[in-house]
Amino acid sequence: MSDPTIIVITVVVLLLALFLSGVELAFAMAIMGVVGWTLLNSFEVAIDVLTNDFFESLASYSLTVVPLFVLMGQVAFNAGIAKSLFDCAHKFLGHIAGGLAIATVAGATIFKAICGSAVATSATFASVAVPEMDRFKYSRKLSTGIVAIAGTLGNFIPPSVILIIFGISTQLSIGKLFMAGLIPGLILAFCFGIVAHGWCRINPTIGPKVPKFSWKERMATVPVNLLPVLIFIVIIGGLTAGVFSPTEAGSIGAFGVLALCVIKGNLNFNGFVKSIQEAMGTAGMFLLLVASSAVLGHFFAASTISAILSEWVASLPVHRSVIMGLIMFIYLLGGSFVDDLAFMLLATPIFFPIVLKLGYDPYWAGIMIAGFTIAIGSVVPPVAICVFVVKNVTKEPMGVIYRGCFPFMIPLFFCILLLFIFPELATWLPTVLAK
Amino acid sequence: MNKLMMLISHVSKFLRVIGAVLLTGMMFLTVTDVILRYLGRPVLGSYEMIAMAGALVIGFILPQNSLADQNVCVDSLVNTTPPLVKKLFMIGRRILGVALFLLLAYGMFRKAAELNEVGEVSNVLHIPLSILGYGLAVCLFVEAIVLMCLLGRTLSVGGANNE
Repeated sequence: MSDPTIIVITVVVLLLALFLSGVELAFAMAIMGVVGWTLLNSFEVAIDVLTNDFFESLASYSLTVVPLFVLMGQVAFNAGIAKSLFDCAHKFLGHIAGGLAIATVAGATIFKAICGSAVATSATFASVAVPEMDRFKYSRKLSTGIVAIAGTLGNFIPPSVILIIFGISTQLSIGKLFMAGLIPGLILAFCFGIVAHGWCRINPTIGPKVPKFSWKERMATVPVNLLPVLIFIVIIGGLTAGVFSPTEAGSIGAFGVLALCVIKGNLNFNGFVKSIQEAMGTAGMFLLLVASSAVLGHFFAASTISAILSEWVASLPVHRSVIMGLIMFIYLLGGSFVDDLAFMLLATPIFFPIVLKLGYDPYWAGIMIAGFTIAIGSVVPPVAICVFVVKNVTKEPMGVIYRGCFPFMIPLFFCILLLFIFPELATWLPTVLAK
Repeated sequence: MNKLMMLISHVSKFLRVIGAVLLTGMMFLTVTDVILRYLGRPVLGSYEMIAMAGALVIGFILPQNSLADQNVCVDSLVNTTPPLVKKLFMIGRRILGVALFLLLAYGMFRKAAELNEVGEVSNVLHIPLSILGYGLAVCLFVEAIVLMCLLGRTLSVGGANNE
């Protein structure tokens, strides 16, 4: 077997078979990388590539950003910062139609600024916002749907762990990716709020109005919630201004959130130990996937399949946006059957060169692929991680949560369309800040 | 088997504790470096210390992640199969895992020996890179042993149901 195309097809088919047979995705990617290299070259070369890719990936300074940003998120998650953020948003927005749902989105948006994980955001607000919405007789469909969908903001608003991993796998600037995700993330949050408000205006029984608070009561909640915003401004400002490296931004963020929690008395030693252990577990899982995908990605590159595909796709007589839409659909479909992050790592070495060949901006493409497709994948069946998390916390049937998420798919698809028409929404901020 | 599993569990937890200390140290070292850099006295070699510590943090958590079944896998299809078929899938999965990590540990030991032979060191602090190579190789070997124990547990009666 010497034709690289046949070898690649064989490897991809066997890889999917391994995925479906329950083998750990990271293990399967590394194993098939070894098989591919062996077929393409020799077993000796395969071992060298496997070892070097693991050594280089794990011992890379740029990858240390992952455990540190994950740690920052875990500390924020375990310290109950979300409760005061939600309380503040509740007092400002609760009295309007769908106000508590809008407050959930607002609180999650700010919480996201110090927690890079979509899942952690959904889990946190499921335990903080849903009981409060229950108290005011909000429909469970709306309350659970909004917390699940609010988690997807985690893929856009910095410091998004998904964007960090996409940046590492494509060697794009993490700071610029963060900036590229900010405006789409804020537009999306605004649209979620609009849909929640509109839904409750059409059907007031699902989100009854709650008592209005005085301005004195509202303003009293502001000072304590300015600190997470300040930490966000320092780390993202420092990162984009080139003052910090991403790893330093992650460390300063983790330290800042930790200091904030210790000062407020929200986190004891056991909470810190729990945060560290969870951060290590998550980072270990992510980085094992990154190292394994490097082995497979280098095999794809050596087989020249990406170049062959790029040339072929670029020559197709269809508009490039159709091809881009198709690529996003493949990510969505693949992510539905495997795992969104794993499929992104698997497919990016193949599809990212095609996207670049089509003439798209790499940062725009990052938001479309790592942002939107994974966001949609995390709230649609069969593998809807944000919905699973909300189900585990609220004990509500999956069907109810899916139905609650459904109206909020409109903003997601609207924003995709908006970014196709106005790519500057993602490319403007990185360009301006780079100057 | 139970005693071996307990031993492996203790070793994994011990490695996780070292990893946790390293991760905390990475955070404090970076913050200190940033502050001191603005005072004109940066911590020499902080980047390479953090890179090495980061590699070991991940190496140290691998066994615990496998014991806690924290690595992502798609088991929805396998879960629909009869217990015996499920057990066979689980055995195959464990064998592949053991083979991969034995291969990785062997490759990493070989790479560490090569780094030692050529005397490759880090840029600033001149720390021999072979130390990191050997450290990672040990972690990968421990992971292979953990996966062997999990394979043994699967092979024992009713093992697949326990996982």
